[in-house]
Amino acid sequence: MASLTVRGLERRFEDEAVALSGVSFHVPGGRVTALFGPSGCGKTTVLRLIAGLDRPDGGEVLIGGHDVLRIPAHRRDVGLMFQELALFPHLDVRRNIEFGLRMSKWPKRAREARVMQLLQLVGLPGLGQRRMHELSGGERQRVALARVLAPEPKLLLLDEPLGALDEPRKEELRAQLGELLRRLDTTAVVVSHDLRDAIALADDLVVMADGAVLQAGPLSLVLAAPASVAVARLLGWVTLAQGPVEHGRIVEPSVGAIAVPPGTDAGGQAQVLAHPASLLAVPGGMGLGSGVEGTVLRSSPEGPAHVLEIALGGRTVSRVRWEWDLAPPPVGSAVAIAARPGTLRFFRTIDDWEPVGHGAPAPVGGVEAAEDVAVVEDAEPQAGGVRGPGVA
Amino acid sequence: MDQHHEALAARAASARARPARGGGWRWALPALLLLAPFLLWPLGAMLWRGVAPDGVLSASALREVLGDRYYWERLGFTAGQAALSTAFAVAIGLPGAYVFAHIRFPGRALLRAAVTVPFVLPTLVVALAFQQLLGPQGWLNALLARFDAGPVRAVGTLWIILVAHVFYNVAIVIRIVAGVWANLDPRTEEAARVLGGGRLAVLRRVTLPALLPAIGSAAALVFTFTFTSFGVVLVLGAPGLDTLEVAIYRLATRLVQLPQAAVLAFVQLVATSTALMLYALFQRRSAAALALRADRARPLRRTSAAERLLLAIVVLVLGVLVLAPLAALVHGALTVGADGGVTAANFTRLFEDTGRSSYVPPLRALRWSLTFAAGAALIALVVGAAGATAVARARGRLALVVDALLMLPLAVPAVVLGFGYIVTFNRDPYDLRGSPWLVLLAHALVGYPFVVRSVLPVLRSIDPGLRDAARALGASGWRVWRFVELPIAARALLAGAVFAVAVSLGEFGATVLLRRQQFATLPIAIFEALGRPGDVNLGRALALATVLLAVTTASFLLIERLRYREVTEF
Repeated sequence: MASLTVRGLERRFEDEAVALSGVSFHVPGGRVTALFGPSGCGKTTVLRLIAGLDRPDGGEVLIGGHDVLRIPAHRRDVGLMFQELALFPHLDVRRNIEFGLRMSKWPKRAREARVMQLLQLVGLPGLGQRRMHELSGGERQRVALARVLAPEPKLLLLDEPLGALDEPRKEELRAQLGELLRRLDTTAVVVSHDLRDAIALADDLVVMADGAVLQAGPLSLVLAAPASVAVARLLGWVTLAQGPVEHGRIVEPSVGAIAVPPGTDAGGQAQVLAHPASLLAVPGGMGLGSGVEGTVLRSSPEGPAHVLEIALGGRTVSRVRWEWDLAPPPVGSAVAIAARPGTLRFFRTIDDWEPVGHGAPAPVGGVEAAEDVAVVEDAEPQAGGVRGPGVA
Repeated sequence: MDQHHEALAARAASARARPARGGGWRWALPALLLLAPFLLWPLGAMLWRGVAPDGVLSASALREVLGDRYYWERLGFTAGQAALSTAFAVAIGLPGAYVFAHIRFPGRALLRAAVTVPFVLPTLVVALAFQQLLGPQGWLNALLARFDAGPVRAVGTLWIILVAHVFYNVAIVIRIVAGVWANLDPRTEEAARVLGGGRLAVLRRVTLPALLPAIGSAAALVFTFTFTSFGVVLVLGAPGLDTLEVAIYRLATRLVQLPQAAVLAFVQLVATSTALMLYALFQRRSAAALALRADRARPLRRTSAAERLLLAIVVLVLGVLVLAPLAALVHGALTVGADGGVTAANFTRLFEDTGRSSYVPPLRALRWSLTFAAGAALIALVVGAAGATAVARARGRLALVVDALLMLPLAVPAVVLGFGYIVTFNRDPYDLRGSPWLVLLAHALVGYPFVVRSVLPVLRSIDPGLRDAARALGASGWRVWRFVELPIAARALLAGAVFAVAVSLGEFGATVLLRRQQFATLPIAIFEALGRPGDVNLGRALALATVLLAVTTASFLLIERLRYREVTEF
């Protein structure tokens, strides 16, 4: 159970590989870290550098406290499961799994026992003789997993381990993989562009965009308190209101106003974000909710409630629950939005609202923010009468 | 299908992004160890004779050759017959390629194999076969005599040489062009049809341009092989119908005019190198179209009436072209000297010692032939596999240079190689004259390029992700090759080795110069028998040629079984 420390990893742009700038994070021994970010943000490049398949232009990689950059890939004792799986087409299942064991010169008997054990572990007993083209997508995924686990690597790197699967299979394997990782008690880095994978598999979360780490920390902490607008957006948060701060409120014409926590400078620009899971739509025009109102664009029944798509100013806040009534509000009607207490995040920017998608590092700060960004903790619950009357 | 193509395209993109890196030059070492002492040195020594006949630089030999009309005529004839042979081979090969790429018919695999057999046949066997078919006592004249038509004199004319060359090389055109044609994306043609192009317009404006690199590379290869034609011209030609290669042989053996021979060799080397460079250029372009597409893009479909007619013509022409000479050869072996009957005497007579000093016991010749073939194939296997890996690992222009260097043995005429050995390895401490090792090395040299060409496309098509995976699983560079690349390329490697066996079995140009009675091969035995008059000797040559035909065909049929799908450049 070696720990992994990545410090200031640099990689210049070359061919089609993604450039990295100063990527740092730490994975304590025995914990699982998810590397999360949009496609093409450099996650796979980081894994390749850790595994030693590519050389960084700067920075260091420490495994179990030892600098491994000088160690070639085949001696790093790191297991990497490839997004494309890269199973050997000329070998059967058994020999694919056995490959790493042969490379590290396990005796024949131990190899055979280990392969049997792994086939059992990934739920493929009896498929040892199959060739790769005779397997389903899910089975291939399991073979790739078994192959990477077989030599008992110090560190496990999984690149989109559920990437090549269709949705139902993904659900199933995600749960099994999560259970397996917990059971193995191994140090692992899981790369995914799907937040659900990160949530199901990881203890810690590293959010990346454009070749840089935006935020790193325990999963629950990062999910609950994104450090910047960019991270919040990547995690699915939506902007409730944005505009100048006047008299202790963010005011956005045609949307409404939300009270900012006390002590926030007046006069600057700010925005308030929330995760849809902490929002609830309530009837508009009745003084309910947090102070912002929008228009219903669409509604769909989902589970015991309804989910509304709501337009806020020019933006669309999708998928807000409606539990007020058995029937959804008519399309085009105004609804107010309530937030669960303590779940809003306020950010004040100096000049740029939209750091995401421009490629520049976010000029908005996080919890440990720079002084040019005033980060304001949660608003008072005054704004969030979520548990209003109605649907009980 | 689409998804599959996208996956392939993605794989190609990732292959471009991440070529296997490092250590490429080490893989070129075995080839260099073979090339430097046994090709470059003798070749250089040979060419040195041309510019410095007496050890000092002098243009005398050069002036003599350039000033002699005879040599210019040889050059003109050599280039002319090569161009004509190439044109005919392409003209006959293209419809054949269409048929093999598009039409499913019973016996397709068999005909495909049959058409390729001549390519691996020893030149002397081919020459003898055509003599039996078109010669004074041949089938054609026997047939004509039945209709009271006058005998046709074919031997000693340009025509019989051309026919033999087409027989030999039509397979190259068919294999290379059909391979690309079968993998052309049919949607571009369909798009052209929908846009209003007639069949001919589509063929002219869409299909042929797409095939041009393949046709070009096939033509360049055929030109190279026919330009250096030796055995066929030596046996079937006549004074005035000598290629440069034959002229070199005559100059050096009969007249001992090595400087002049060296000048001619240089001229020939320039011509063949140019042709081979064109081949490599075209090959790269058509390889781009073919990259990584092991699966056929065009399903073999139902045929139209016009296609059935074409099929019938192609099957008939190819069948006659390939089978008639070989049948005539075997028939000759069974009938010559039998006064109209069938006899096995020609075969049994092989074992009777003629008492002459030149007598070669057939079993010993067979044994030496097989020994050389096995040894040469073994060397070719090692050198070819390592060389192909070197090319596959080199980047960009370096890959082209290494590739060209590895192909050099194909550009060097066998006779020149043989002479190079004679003038180089004639002093202590490396006096190897009269050593079977030189023959073995010469055979390995001309054989390994076939291994390279067979293996390289497979190595290039291996997903670089597999190498990464192996490395991440603890395999060092060497073991990545040993456990991933080698097993994947194994079939192609074996197919290349069998090609090397076939080439060695038929090698004549270099062997004839390095021969000794003790280790004469089957082609040498045939040549020796041919050099003597009388039906007995002819029968002996025919019987030997039949044995050689059987051995080569058997080894070739192995190739067809071992071919790695349809990915190979030959």
